[in-house]
Amino acid sequence: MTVQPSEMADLVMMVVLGPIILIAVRRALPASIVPASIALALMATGYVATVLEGFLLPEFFNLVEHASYTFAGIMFVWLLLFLRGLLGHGKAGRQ
Amino acid sequence: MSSAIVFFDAASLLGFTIAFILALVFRTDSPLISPSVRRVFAAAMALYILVGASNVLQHAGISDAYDRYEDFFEILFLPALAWVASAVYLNHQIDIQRRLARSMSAQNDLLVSIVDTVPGGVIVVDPAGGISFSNQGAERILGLQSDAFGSIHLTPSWTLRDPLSGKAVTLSDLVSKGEIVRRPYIAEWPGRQSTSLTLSATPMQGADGAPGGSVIAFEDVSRR
Repeated sequence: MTVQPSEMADLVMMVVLGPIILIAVRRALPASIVPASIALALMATGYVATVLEGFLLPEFFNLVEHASYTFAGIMFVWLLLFLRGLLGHGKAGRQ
Repeated sequence: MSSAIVFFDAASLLGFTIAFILALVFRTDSPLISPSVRRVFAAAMALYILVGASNVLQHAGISDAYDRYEDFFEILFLPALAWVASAVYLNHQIDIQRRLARSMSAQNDLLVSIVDTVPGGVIVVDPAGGISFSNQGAERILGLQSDAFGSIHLTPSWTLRDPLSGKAVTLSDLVSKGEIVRRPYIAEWPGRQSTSLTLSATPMQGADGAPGGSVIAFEDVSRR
C-alpha cells in the first residue's frame, strides 16, 4: 500500500510534459500526432498503473503496467517507421 | 501471471531495441530531424531498453540487482522526449523563417530585374535625402556610381534645378514634402550639358507610419 516517490514523479512529469510534447509534435509534424499520442498515452497508462498497483489489484495493475510499456515500445517503432515514410530516407539513407 | 509479465518485459525490450536502432539509422533530408534529435530520441529508447532488461532479469528470477536503477532510467525518459519535441518544433520554426527569407530574396531579385529593364531612371531616396537604390537607367542618366560594397552615392556636383523658379532643389526637399510630385526639373553638372528630366516622386511610409522617403522615377527629355 505504498507509492514510491519516483513513480509519482514519473506521473507528474507525464501530466506536465505530455501535453507540451504533443503540442510541439502537432505543430511541427501534424501527420505524426496519432502514433505519438498513442505511444505517450500508453506510457501514461503504465505510470498510472504503477501508482495504482500500490493501492488495489496489485497483480492486475502490474500486468497492465508491463503490457503498456510493451505496446508503447511498438508504438515508438510505428512512429519512427511513419516518420521514415513521411520525411523520406535522405541521401545518406539511400547509400 | 508472472510468465505473462516476463513475456511483456521481453517484448518491451525487443520493441524499444528496434526503436533505438531505427532512431540511430534514421536518415532524412528534412531539417526537422537533426542528428542531435535522432541521438537524444535513441537515448530515450535506450533508457527503456535498460528498464526492460532489468525487468526481464528480475521477473524471470535471474537477478534483481538492477531493479534499484530502474527509477533513474524511467525518470529521465520524459525530459529526453520533451527535449526532442521542442527541438523538432524549433527546427520547424527555423525552417519556416528560412523559406520565408528565401522567398523574399527571390521576390526582391525579380523586382530589381523588372526595375532594371525600365529605360527611365528609378531611385529610392531615404528620408535624409540619400539614395538607397537606383536602377541602371538612373545610373546612366544621373551618372550615379556604386562603390565596391554596392551602396550608391551621387557625383558631388550633381544639382537639380526647378526650371520655373530657377531654385536648386535637393532630393531631401522632394522627399520632405511627403506628397506626390510630378513636374520637370533640370539636372546640372559643371562642365557638362544639363539634362531635362520629367520627374515623378511618390512618398513611402516607414514601418511606424513616419515618412519613409520616396520612390522617384524620371525620364531624360532633353532630346524631345
